[in-house]
This record gives sequence, C-alpha cells and structure tokens, in this order.
Amino acid sequence: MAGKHAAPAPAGRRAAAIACAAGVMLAGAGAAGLALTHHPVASRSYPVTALPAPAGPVVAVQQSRAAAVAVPVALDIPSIGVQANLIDLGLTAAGALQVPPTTSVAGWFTGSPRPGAIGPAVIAGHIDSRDGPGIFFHLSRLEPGDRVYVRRADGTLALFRVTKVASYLKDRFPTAAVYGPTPDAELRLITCGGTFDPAQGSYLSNVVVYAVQAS
Amino acid sequence: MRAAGAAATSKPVLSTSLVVESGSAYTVAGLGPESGLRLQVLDDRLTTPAGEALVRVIQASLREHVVTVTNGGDTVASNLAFASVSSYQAVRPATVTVRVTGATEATSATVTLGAGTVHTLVILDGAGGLTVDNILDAAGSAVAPAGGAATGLGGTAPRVPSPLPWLLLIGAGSLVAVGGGLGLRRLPRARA
Repeated sequence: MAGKHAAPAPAGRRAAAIACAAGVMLAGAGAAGLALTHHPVASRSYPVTALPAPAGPVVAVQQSRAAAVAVPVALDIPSIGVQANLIDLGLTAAGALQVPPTTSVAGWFTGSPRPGAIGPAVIAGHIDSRDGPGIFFHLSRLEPGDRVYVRRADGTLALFRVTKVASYLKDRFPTAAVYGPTPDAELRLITCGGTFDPAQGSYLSNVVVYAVQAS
Repeated sequence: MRAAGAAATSKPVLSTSLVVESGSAYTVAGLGPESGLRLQVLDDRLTTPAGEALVRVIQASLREHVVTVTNGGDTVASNLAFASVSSYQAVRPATVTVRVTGATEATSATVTLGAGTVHTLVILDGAGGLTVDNILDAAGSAVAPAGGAATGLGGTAPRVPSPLPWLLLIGAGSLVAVGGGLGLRRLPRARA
C-alpha cells in the first residue's frame, strides 16, 4: 500500500536530511567562531603627542641636607605628552595608596619625600577610566633617559631622568624598591598595566617608572 | 680627596680605593687630626626598621677627644673617641633634643628624625664650642602603603568580544538540525 505513495516521501526526506546536515554545520560554524574569537582584542589605539619642555628654572637642592623643598603642584613628561596638575594622596582605610578621583590629574603621596628632596617621591596616576585613556596611559612607553619635570609651589622645577621601567603583579608589588629609603632625590611614577580583570574591575599589574634627579 | 674647588687634574691630598656594590651606599670621610688625616670608607644603611629612624655619630671634635651622645634617655653613642664612627641606632621618629657631652664641653641640638630616614650626626668644633651637623644619608616614605595601586578602571583594556552572535548561530543551527532530524523520523522511508 505504502509503495503507491512512495513518490513524495524521498523529496521530503531529502529536504529534512539537508536541513539536518545544514543545521549541524551552522551550529559547528558558530562553535568554531566562538572558540576562535574568545580572546581579548585591543579596543583602539591612542596616539602620543609629544610636548615641549616646561619653562622655568630647574633647581636641584644640595644633597645630604634635609632642606625645605616646596610642595609639588604639577607634572610634565614631554616625551609622552603628560601635563597634569598634582593633588595630594594619602592612604586608604585599608592602608593602600589613595588614587586620584579623576583620570586627568596625577597625585603625590604625601607620606613620601617631596620631589627634589632626598628619597623617592611617589606619584600615581590612572592608565584609564571606564571610558578612555587616563593621564598615565602612555607611562609604560617611557625609556631610560627620558625627562620628567615636577613643578613646585615656589615655581621651581625638579628634573628627573628615567632609569628603569618595570611591570609587577600587584600581589608581588616591590614595596621596598618603590617606597624604601634612597640616598639621593628620586622619583617613582605608578600606574596600572597588564591584564584587566573585569570580575574585580581592576588591572592585575602595576607599571613603575624609576627616575633619579638630574643635577 | 682634594682641597675644595681644586681642579680634578691636581694632585689629591689623600687617596683611597673601595669596592662599590650595586644597591649599596657609602660615605668616604676624611677623619683625623690635620697632620694625620686619613680616608675612611663607611657603609651607609639604606633600610630602616619599619616606622623607625636610624642615627649614627661621627666624632670629629678635636677639642673633646671623647664624647657621649644621648637622645632623651637613650644613648646614641657612648664614649666615642675622636675620628671614630658609631654604628647605626634605631630610634622612634620624633623631633628630639640630642645632647653631646665631652670632658669639659657639652651642647644640644634639635633634630627631626622622621620614620624611614637615615641620619649621620657629625660632632664638630664650632667657634662657640661643640656643634652638631645633621646629615641626611637616606630617606623613604614614612609609612609604605600596602600592596599596589588601583590606578585603572579598564576603559582601554583589551576585551573579549561579545559571544552573542556566535551563540545565536549555534542556537539557530541546532534548531534547524533538530527540525530536520524530526522530519526524517516522521516521514516514511522510501521503498527501494
């Protein structure tokens, strides 16, 4: 009996078989696409705009004297286009370094020596906000020899030369090298770097720039 | 060592050699009476106990051959002979009055010893008696912040693209495949 109605059946079955195979291929393509694109991709690039050196008298205080050095008010890093006002930073309730409330200024840690006095002055700034680059976005591009200027409240400039740029996992932060005593006037610039952990909302590493006062 | 302002090509008054190591600091001091001045290489310390200051004394007074230096009730250097150097003492950070006592003279000086700072007090003969020269050997942060700095919010971080289009493709493909499979099962098999 069924044999007499055999004609439509193969066409329907063929369509169903094609649909089944096509569906499997589509799903496979989707899985392949998911696997191949499931890695971080840079959102976009931001060019560096170099700036001229700031105008003003560069003054280096005589070493080995706990001389009165004026408080820092601004930071200039011409090679990576940084020109920022400095705010004061203290400690958070948990004892960590405070960070600036906005990404357009940098901050000087008031527990560290003043820039130009003996010891490492510590300045921190953001690499980015939630939306775009921050004041220290290009910090990791600094190289040994690059100039860093700190303007002080009395109008004088302290000039530092970069000696080292390094990146550390935050849970292996080199506290002694960054905050510990030095026999000369030095500078530490800190920002974030490395992998961003969206779950914690923070980067896993810190970039630290070491600089020493040029006389 | 040359006279102050002498040309770098002039004959040195005194010479010494030292081995310098990376990460270390040294003081080269000319110590002794004018006739027997000699150079001493002193090892400077660059780390303080947490929250404390370090102080040492160089006894350079010719008039008082032996001095004792105290900081409140604490002795920083006891019976220190001329041209010798005490070892570093850890002290609580404060602005303190340091007393220097010799056989016939005494003086006091107010010095600020901050946490994380390393000082050398040089005892000298001034016009009016003993004087104290406070030299800052090294300084760091008074209190070191814990851990790293939270200096980024991720706006420029590389990100993983949304998986949604691919998940939709997998879903659609699966639906079509299941539909086809059901059709295959429902439709009669062709006769040979």
